[in-house]
Order: sequence, then structure tokens, then C-alpha cells
Amino acid sequence: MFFNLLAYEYKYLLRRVSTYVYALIFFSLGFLLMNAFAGAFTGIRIHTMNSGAEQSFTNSSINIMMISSALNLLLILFIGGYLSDILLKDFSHNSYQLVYTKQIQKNKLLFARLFVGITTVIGIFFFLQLGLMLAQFSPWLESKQFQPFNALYYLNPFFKISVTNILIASSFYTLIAIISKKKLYVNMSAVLMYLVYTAIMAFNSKLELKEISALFDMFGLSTLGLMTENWTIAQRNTELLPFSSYFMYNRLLWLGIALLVYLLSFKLYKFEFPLIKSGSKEKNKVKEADKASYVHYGVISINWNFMTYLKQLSHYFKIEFKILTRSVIFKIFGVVFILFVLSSLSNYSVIYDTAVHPVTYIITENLKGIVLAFSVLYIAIFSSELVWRSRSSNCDFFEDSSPLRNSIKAISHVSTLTISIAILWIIGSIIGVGYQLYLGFYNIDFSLYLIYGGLLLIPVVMYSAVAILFQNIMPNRMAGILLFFGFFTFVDYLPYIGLEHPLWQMFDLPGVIFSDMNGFGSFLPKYFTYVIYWLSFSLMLFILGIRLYRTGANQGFKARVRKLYHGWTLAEQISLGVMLIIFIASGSYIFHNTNVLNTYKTQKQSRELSVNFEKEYKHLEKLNQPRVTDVDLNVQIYPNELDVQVSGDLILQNKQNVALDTLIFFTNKSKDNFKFSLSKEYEILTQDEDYNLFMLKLASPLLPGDTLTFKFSDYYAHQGYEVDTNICENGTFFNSSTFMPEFSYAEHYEISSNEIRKKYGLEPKERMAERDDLKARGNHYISKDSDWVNFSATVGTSSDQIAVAPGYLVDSWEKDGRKQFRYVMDHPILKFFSFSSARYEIEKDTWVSNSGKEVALEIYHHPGHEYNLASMMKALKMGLTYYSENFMEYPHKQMRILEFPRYSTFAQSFPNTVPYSEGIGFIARLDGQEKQDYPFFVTAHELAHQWWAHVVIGADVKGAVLMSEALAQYSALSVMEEEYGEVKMGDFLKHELHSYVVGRSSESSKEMPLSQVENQQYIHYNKGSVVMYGLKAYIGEDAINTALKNVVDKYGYQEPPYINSEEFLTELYREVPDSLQFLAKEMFEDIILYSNNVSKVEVFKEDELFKVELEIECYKMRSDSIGNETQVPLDEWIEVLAFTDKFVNGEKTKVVANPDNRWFKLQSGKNKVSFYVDSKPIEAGVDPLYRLLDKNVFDNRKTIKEIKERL
Amino acid sequence: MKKVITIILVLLSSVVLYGQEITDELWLRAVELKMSSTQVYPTQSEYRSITKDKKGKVEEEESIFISHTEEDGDIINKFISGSNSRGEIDEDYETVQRYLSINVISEEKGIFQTTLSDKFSLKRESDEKIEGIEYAKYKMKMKTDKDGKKIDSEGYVWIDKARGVPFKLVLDIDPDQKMVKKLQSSTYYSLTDEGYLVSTKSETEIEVSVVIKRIFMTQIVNRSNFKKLEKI
Repeated sequence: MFFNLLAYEYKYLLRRVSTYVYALIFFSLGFLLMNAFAGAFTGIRIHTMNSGAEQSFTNSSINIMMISSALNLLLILFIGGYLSDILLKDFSHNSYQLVYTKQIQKNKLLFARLFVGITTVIGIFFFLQLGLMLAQFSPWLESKQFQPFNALYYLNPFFKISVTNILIASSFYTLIAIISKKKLYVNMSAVLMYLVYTAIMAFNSKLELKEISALFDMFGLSTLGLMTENWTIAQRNTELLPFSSYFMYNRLLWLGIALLVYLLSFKLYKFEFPLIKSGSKEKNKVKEADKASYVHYGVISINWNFMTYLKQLSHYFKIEFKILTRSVIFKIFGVVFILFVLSSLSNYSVIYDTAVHPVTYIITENLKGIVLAFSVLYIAIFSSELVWRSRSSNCDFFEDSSPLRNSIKAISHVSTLTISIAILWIIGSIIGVGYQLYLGFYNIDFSLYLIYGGLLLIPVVMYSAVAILFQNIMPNRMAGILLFFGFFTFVDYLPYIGLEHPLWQMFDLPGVIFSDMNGFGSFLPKYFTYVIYWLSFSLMLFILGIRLYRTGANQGFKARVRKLYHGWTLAEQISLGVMLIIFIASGSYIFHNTNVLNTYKTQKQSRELSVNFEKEYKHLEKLNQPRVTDVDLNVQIYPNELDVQVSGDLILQNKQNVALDTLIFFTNKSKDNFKFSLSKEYEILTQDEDYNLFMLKLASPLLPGDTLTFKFSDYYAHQGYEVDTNICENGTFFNSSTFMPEFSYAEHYEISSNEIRKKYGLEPKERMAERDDLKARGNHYISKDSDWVNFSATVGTSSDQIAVAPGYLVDSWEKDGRKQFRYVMDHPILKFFSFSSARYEIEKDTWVSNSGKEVALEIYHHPGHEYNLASMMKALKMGLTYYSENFMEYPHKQMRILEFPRYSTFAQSFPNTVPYSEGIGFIARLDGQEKQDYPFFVTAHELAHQWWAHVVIGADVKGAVLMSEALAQYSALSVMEEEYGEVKMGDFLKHELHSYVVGRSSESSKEMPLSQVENQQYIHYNKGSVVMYGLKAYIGEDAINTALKNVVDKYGYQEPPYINSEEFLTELYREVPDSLQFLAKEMFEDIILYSNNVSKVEVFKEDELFKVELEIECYKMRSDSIGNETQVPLDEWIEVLAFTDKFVNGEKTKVVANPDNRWFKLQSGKNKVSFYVDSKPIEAGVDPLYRLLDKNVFDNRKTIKEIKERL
Repeated sequence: MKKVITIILVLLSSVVLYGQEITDELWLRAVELKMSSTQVYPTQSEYRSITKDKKGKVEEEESIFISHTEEDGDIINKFISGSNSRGEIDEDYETVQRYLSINVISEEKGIFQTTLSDKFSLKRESDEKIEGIEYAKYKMKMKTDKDGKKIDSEGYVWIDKARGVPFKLVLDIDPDQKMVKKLQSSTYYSLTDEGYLVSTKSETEIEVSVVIKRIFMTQIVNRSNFKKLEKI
């Protein structure tokens, strides 16, 4: 009997065309995706975050794992529909009366259907793996991209991730199908599950949540992320996902839950007819009044005019709106939305696990993102509900026979969707305002809630119009929904098939960023041009959608298409014509702005330009050039016009031993307005407008030591509506590289990707020169045409603003309604200058050095952004004290921080001047103990660059940024420790170490040791922090600072050849005791990793003391540049600490409980460590403050839950 | 017209009063003493709490001792011992944790201001002799903000007329909670041997009405062995 049932159900599914269509879709998806990864399609080259590395294979185990698991999200949507087909077929076929009267055991029937349904889904999904597998053997793909075929790479993720996910998701769909007996509810629950899941995934960015998320992630995607985030390239190529650790717990947990849900489903499954709910007796009674009389209406006359249509629209809209908003699904949708918004609020703009003050633009910006994401799903689902409503309730003939125009229905559909989404926005806004008030933020800008709401509803109208069209084109609602999603996925890939121009990017509206400093800036004109363009396009589609409405008996597609040719009303014709004119006119305007007023190049054209540049001008790299020694600039900023006028006098000196007769230089943005003159006669040999290159032949050679004066002027007027976020109405900030001519070969034009270089026949390119390359050491890494220059500048701006450049303000005046400021630096600096202008308020203070030198401290900030000024000022003072005492007295008389709008989120150090984004500290919320004071850290870091870059600057070779970024990190961390203590530093370093291990796993070329870092941020920032700070713990602060002081003394303000990391390390190693030389060398010149974890901690109370006993496992690995690891013996002193709570100035503070007994000799493998502490320990661990480069930051500590009594 | 003039006069008077400097010499001496004592801390505090019923019968008594020691310019609070009517209590006890979270060193001037503001008013009212010493008695009114709520307090402070040393401050605080019927705090000051003005004892009396039960609580803080921070 049971096998008969199985055979019957299999036959049922295998006879369905959709089974084969789905299998084909999944196969094609796998096949095409793998081809796209391998670059089979012109222009398309897809990368996962795990691919793209030069040593990474397209069929690496991680790539296959990631593709399969990412497509598991498709499964969520697909399984629900497919499974409910078989589970509820008795209801959809109206055959349940027959089935339920047969002698079939209900559990057997359910089991058979589930078994058949789930195994078929598994089978269909296996076609994805098949597609991925077979793609490898495509003859048109380059075989070098693939490693030898290994079926396990495909089967491992299939069984461990996909099959388990199918079992888990199916359990919930089964339960919902059994309870509701409606396919719609199963489909809706699939969408809701998708929504909730993506919501949770989007907001687990906090480091602390990673482990929890990995354990409880229903579909195991974040588990997979955590398990593989520190895999090296070598591991990513070949390693299989182990069934252990977080992954094992996660799968066991969810499979257990799924089992319970299945059991519940079996319990609830009954052979019962769905009850037909009868209304109350009262309702069923026919009112006596209705029975008693017949109303005589007489002759009815209908007057059709515009008001009639409006009334119709109003009535129809009311009905639809009521039906939609009163539906259970809408309410569930609303609840999920509210939970989503609530859970996301505290995660806005989180940096170092620290959120920002709930300023209105942050709330509204994120709220808009959430509502828009919801809207896409919402419109897809509810558009189908609205279009198919009358048909699914068999009322279409009544409705179609009424004098109701399709246009009225369509307008009502769009209005219903738009207004119901507006309601979601209002709910979100109320939550947003509540959240602001809850946090005591009362400066609420209600207008932003209104404006962002408006910005949100524009795309909502567009999407709704498209969704209505698709529902009318497609034969059923599910097909309409799929077309909608398919369409928006497809348009995302248009650039990859050569349709890169913005005019092709359907419904893609330009970004609008609000800044407290600059409001909406100059974003809106461009934004609204695109709104007009795409809105007119979507309204044309909307009108076509109206023509395609199903009405009457003949509803076939062909019949409806025929309606496109005939029967257009005048109103429809005029509307379509007007929309077409607006579409063409706005499109032309966009084209004029993009291609005529500005330069537009496709990606391919840009690449070819770069290739040609390198082929044509590479020889210029060897050409000796004079170097800039003096810079005097006049920079006139016009904030209202968003323009800048610059002119400058540069002195260039021949510092070579030979006479120079050729001068090359590259100008920047503007080629039309650029003018120059020379103090020597010259002849223009080349003027290449493609690259803004000038090559001049000097009439008489420039002899060694001789100088020449180069004068230039330029004018940058913004063109059309294009947005230049550097020049703002309030908050201008740009640096000199945007306009200063460069007197050296412009290497930045070259293509850096070796993969693309190979395609164009270029030799592979090293990212940086070797450390001993003397020619390269003739330049520092900031500039290739200068050493140290004398600098002065006049900066002009509007009368209500202050303009600032490096140097000291020596004069200021007002002329022609504009303010002018004259800045002069009193000693040579790097040729790298900033220019800022805004309506600032200034926070002032003074710092006095030990020698009595007074330094003026100024923070130029936007009024209202006072939140963290005290912290920044404290960092300036503490930093100046620490750096001056330990490295060299601060070389300037002034230190300034200047806020600029949040279009970029960085701070950048220029001599005595640090432009600092409003987005990375000015609005950070630092009122909790767990918060990391990153405004303090960023300030201390940028201040440290006044020594590490602006005094000691590395040569333009491998390892250059070790002497700037890594040392700035170390310096800032040292200051931070003074303020926050070593335990808090441990929390900070945990982030740094985690960023390093994650960063190295997505390395695109090869990981370099710190001493040879090639501008790899995860090395020079993150590894640099851990290494420098770790070494400090081992050899002591004094030893490190002595070495750094010696470096400043010996290499500060040096002339070429500039310092390289070998010279730096020589100074450093001198201070390292012999016993630790190996450790220092490993840290800087090797790639050594540790795996230190604590498996057990026990604490015993013995009299007044607490004995802490730990079981620790330690391993040490050496890694090559692509992550092949070999274990090396470990026999080292490693920190083992217990922590206790201490009340410092009334504040509960976690401190080290064994500060004087912290180092223990540990060996590879298992170790047992014990020690006594005098205060109650709350946590203990091995290397818990991250002195060493540990591969996993999550297993170093354990919380102590119980204090045992020693028996 | 009369009304307009009156309004202008009232507005002018409020402008004049706002931000007015206090010129009372005795008060300024007390302020000076307080300002020179901001870095002084007790090395030990006892927190006592006594709860009585309406007949005056002691229902519960609790006593907690906390030590305060200086480490690198910071004050470290440590639990010494504690007991209540039910027996010994340990460090994890909630009340202990609360007392450990008190910062015993405060740089705030407290009531000892040199300028009147819209939140603080002061008036020398009379002279009083207590235990043979002549004190000047000041009446004061204060408005403070707590969690967004404005709290009004009114009280008296007694200052030794000969030395300018405050002796006692009694404040009646508007409880702003229906359950709390009375909230009165008394602070006792004295000079240390080194001449620092310190508060040696604070006593807060609270009367709470819970449904039909009335509770009288007294919380006393005794501070002793004062020291000045060595590293600031």
C-alpha cells in the first residue's frame, strides 16, 4: 500500500512539466553561473568575496560552497510553492472528499507525499550542482582556471547544506500547509521566512553577535561565513566544510527543531473537510425591511463625466485598500516590518560595535532602505493579489460587465500599493521618532521624515506600474511574480552585457546623501532628472498594462495583444504621447549631461585607454625630472557656484647629476581651462588630451642644481548636474592631487589586475618595488616629483565661511564680498595639501609641551556636532604629550581638526591639519561602557601621522606603510591604553585581529609579511596594530619607544634615499633582547599564526584566594603567501590571564586579576595552567588580550560561571 | 499702562537677578573651603540602612563597609564586610554592587556656588547658636534635573560664623512620586586636621506609603579617614 502510494505520488510529480522546467532552470543557473565566474561572457566577470584572488581556482571548494549555499535562499521561495502543490493537491483539485473517504491511513499518505515532495525537491536542486560540475568541462573555458575535478567539492555542500536546509524549510511549510490548507499561506510564509531571514542576516554585523548568529542561523549561511572566514587561499581551493564546531551544533539544532515540527504536522494532519464558517444568526437573517418593500427607482440616467470616474476610482480604491489592509497577510507583513525596524535601529552606522546618535537623517536613510526592500516583495505579492482578486473569487464576469474602466482599476491598484506602503513608512517613522525620544534625542527634524518618505514613494510608484504590467502579461500570478523578480535581477546585470550607460540602468535612481553640514547638497537636480526619465517610462508601461487587462470571456494573451493595436482611447493616446515626449526629452538631457558636458567612457574604453597609455608612455618612467621644491598657491573656492579656481607658482629644481632637457607633466581634471608658463623657453613635443599629458622640450637644458619657475592656473566649473562631493555649498574638502600638475610618469593610469593585463598582452605587474630598489627609494610613497617643499597658499571663500589650508594663518582680509586667508608653513613639508571651507564653529584649547612650547588646538566643526569634541580634544592633548615625550617634540605650533560632510568616511592627516569626516566620529554615541571610543582613536591615529609620515616617511617600496600606518596605529593604541586601560585595549585589538584574519582570506594576490606590506590595509592597519602592540607586551614600552625615537632622530625629514623597512627593523631589533629576536622576526618578516584556545576553566576558592585552573590548547603555524600552512613547534611564553571586576571611581571596570603573574611557557598541544588570584575571577583565557596573531579570536576566553570549593 | 509697566519691571528684575554674584563673605569662605577640598576622599565608608514600621519598630537593618584606596589617581572601591537582619552578605549582593558604584570623589561644587542662577537661590535668614557655637542660617532653594524631571528642593545650611565652616545642610526634596511621602536629607560637614572641608555623615529619611503599609527608612553614610589624591 505504502509503496503504491509512493509510486503514485512520484508519477504525479514526474508527469508535471514544471518539475522538468525547474530542473532545467537550476541546471542552467549552475552552468551559467560557473561560466560567468570563469569569464565566459564578454564583459561579465562575477566574483564572490571568496574568489578573485589570482591563485584562486574558479572551481575552488569555497566558490562551490558559497554558490550552492547562497542559492539556498532561492530554495526558501521555491520549496514552499512546490511542496504545497503535492501536499494540498486534494484541495486544489477539489478531490479531498474522495480521498478522505478512501481506506488510506492518513500518516502513510502524508509521509508518502512528504517523502516524494522532499526527494523530488532534492533531486531538482541537485541539477544545480550538475550544472556547476559540467560547466568545468566547457571547451570554451580556459582550463588553467580550474583545478582537477573533485566531486566532493560539489557533494559536500550539497548534502551538508542544501539537503539539510531543504529538510528544515520543508518542515515549516508542511506545518503551515496542514494548518491552513491553502497554498497562498504557504507561499506567503515562504516570503515572510525569506524576509525575516534576510533581516536577521543584515543585522548581525557586530563581532559579538557572530558566534550567536552562527549557532542559530536557520539556513547556516552565517555559520558557513564564520567557519570559513579565516581560511586562506590554499584552504579555500581545496578544503571541505567539516561537520564540527558551530556548523555541527547549528545543523543538529535545526534538524532537531525540524523533526519536532514534522511530528507536530503529523499530529495535526486529519482527514477532515475544511469547515465552512457560517455567519452569525443575526447576519443571516434577512432584514424585515428588505423583505417588506421594493424600492421603485424610476428611470435611471447615468451622466458620465470626470467626476464619475473619480467617484468610481474612489470607491474601487476604498474596496481594494480595505481588502488589502485587513488581510491577515498584510497584518503579518506589518508585524514583521515592525520587528525588522525595531531590531535594526540600534545597528545603524555601527563602527567598532559603536552606534551613532540617532540623528534624523541616519534614522530616515536606513528606514527608507528597509521600507524599499520590503516594498519590492510587497509589490510583487500584492500586485498579484489585486490584479487576480476578482478572478480568483470568480467575480470577474460581474466586474467585467460593470461600466468600470481598466484604467480606473489600474490606477486604484497602484494607489493601493503606494498608499499602503506609505502607511508602512508612517509606522516606521513613528518607531523612528520614538527611538529618538527614547534615547533622549529631541532635535528631531520632522521634515526629513517627510522628504525621505517622498523619495521612497517615487520608486514605489514605478515598481507598482511594472508589477501591474507583468501580472497582466503572464498567465498566472506566480509567473507574474517570478517575472517581476527576474526582471529586476536582469536589469542589475545589464552593465555586464555592455549596456553600461546610465540611460540603460532601468529604474536606477542616483543616490541622495543628506549631511548635517551640507543638507542634500547638489544631489537633487540629478536625482529628479532621473525620476522624470524613469517615471515617464514606467507610466508608459503602465498604460500598456491597462491595454493588456483581462476582461470578458476572451482573455487569451493573443486577444489582449491585439488590443495594443486597436481601440486606443484619446486619453490613452495623449497620455502615452506625453509620457513618450517626457521620456525622450529627459533622456536627451541625461545624455547631454553625461556625454556632452562631461566625459563618458565605458569600462572597456577606460581599460583600453590605460593599456594604450602604458604601451605608449611606459618609457617616460625612466626619464629624469626636476623636483618641486616650492609651492605657492592661490585657491579660490566658490561654495555657492560649486566651482574652484586655482593658480600656483612652483619652483622646480634639477636634483640630478645630469642636465635635463625634457619636462613632462600630467594635469588633472580640466584640460580646457588649464594654462601654464615656464621661466625658460620651451617647445611642446606632445600634448595628449586623453591623459592630460604634456611633454616639453626645454630650449636650454636645466643644469644640475638649477631651478625653473612653473606657473599654472586652472578652473573647475561643475558641469551640468554632475555631483562633485568635494566642493560643497558648506563643507568643501579636497586635496592638492585633484588639481596640482604631477611632474612624473602617471603610474596610476596602469591596470593593476594581472588577469586583465594578461588579456591585453601586458606583463604581470608587481604592486610595489623591492625594498632594496635604489631608484624607487629616490621617492617617498606620497609623491614622485618632490621631497620636502616650502608651502604657502592664499585660500578664498564666501564671506560667511572659513577656509583652511596647512600652515599658519598669517593674514586674512575681505575683498569683493569674499574672505581671503593666507597660510604659510614655517618649514618644508610633503607636497600633499588639503583645502577646506565651511561655516564652522571652533572649539579651542591649548597644549603646552614640557619645554614650554604652546600649541593651539582647534576643532572646526559643524554647529550641533559637539557630542565628541571633548574626547577628540583629550586625544589631541594626550597624544601630543605621549608622542612628544617618546618620539620628538611636536614640530608645529598648531593642530587642527576640520569636519567635512559624510560623503566619505575617513580622516586624513596633512601637516598640522586633519580633515575628518562627520560620518566617523562627530556623531558617535559613546555613552555606554561597552562602546569603543573610536573618535578618540581616530584622532590619536591621525595626530600620530604628524610624526609617522610627516616627519619619517617611507620609501616608495614594499613595506613603506609600516613606517606610517602601522606606527600610527601603535602610537594611537598606546595613548588609548593610557585612557582606557589594557583590558579595553584587548577588546579593540580583537577587532583588529579579526579584521586581519578575514582580510587575509580575501587577499587578491599574495599576503606579504608586515615588513614587505604592499599597501594592504588588513596588514598595515590590522596586523600592524596587533604586532606592534604584542611586541610591546613582550619587550616593554620603553624598548619600543626608544627604537622609535632613534628612527625619528636618524630618519626624520631625510632626503632620498628614503627609509625602508629593513632600516627601520634594524633600529627596532636593536632594542629586542636576544631571547625574543625570533619572535620579533617572525612578527615582521614571516607569516606566523597561532591557534590558542581555552577548553576548560575551573576556579576553586582556597581560603581567601581563588585558584584558576585552565586547560589550554596551542598550535603555531607558518603560512606561505597563499595560505598553505605548516605546523611549527611551539615552546613560548604566552599570556594567560584571569579577569575580575573592580570599581574604579565608582565605575565597574574589568581588570586583570593576575597582573604580576601573567606569562606561562606553553607548548604545542594541550597545556594545563594554574595560578592564584586574590579577587573573584569572572573570566579567564589564553592570550586574551591578543598579543599574538591568533586565527580564531572567539575561543581565547571563557566566562567563569561557578566558583567551586576545594574539598 | 500700569500693567505693562509692571510686566516690564518684573522682566527687568528677573534679568537683574539671573546670574547675580553672591557677595556674602561667610558663604564665599565656605565655597573657598569646598573648592580647596575637591580632591579629598574618605578611605572608608559605612552605609547603614534602617527600616521601621509606623510604630517605630525596626524591621530591617543593614550595614555595609566599603574601603576606598588610591591607585594612579583613581579611587578603587572594595567591599570589606556587610550584614543585614538575615546575616552576612557578600560582594555580589545587589546593594553592595550599588554602593561600590559610587564615585566618592567629586569635583562638583554641590550647593557651594558663587553665583545665583535660575536654578539656585540663597538667602541669609538668621543666626542660631548650637552647642555654644554661633551659626549663620541660610535658606536655599534648588531645582535639579533627574532623568528629564525637574526636582525642587528647599532647605537650610548652617555656617560657623567664626570660621566659615559649614556645619549642616538639611534639604527637603520634593519626592515627585506619589508613594514617597517624605524625603529629607541632612549632611554634616567638618574640617579635617589638614584643613579640608569634608562631609562626614549624610542621613536621608524617607517615608514611603505602600498600599496600606507605611515604611520609614533611614539611610546613613558615615565617611572617615580622609585623604587627598596624591596623583591627579
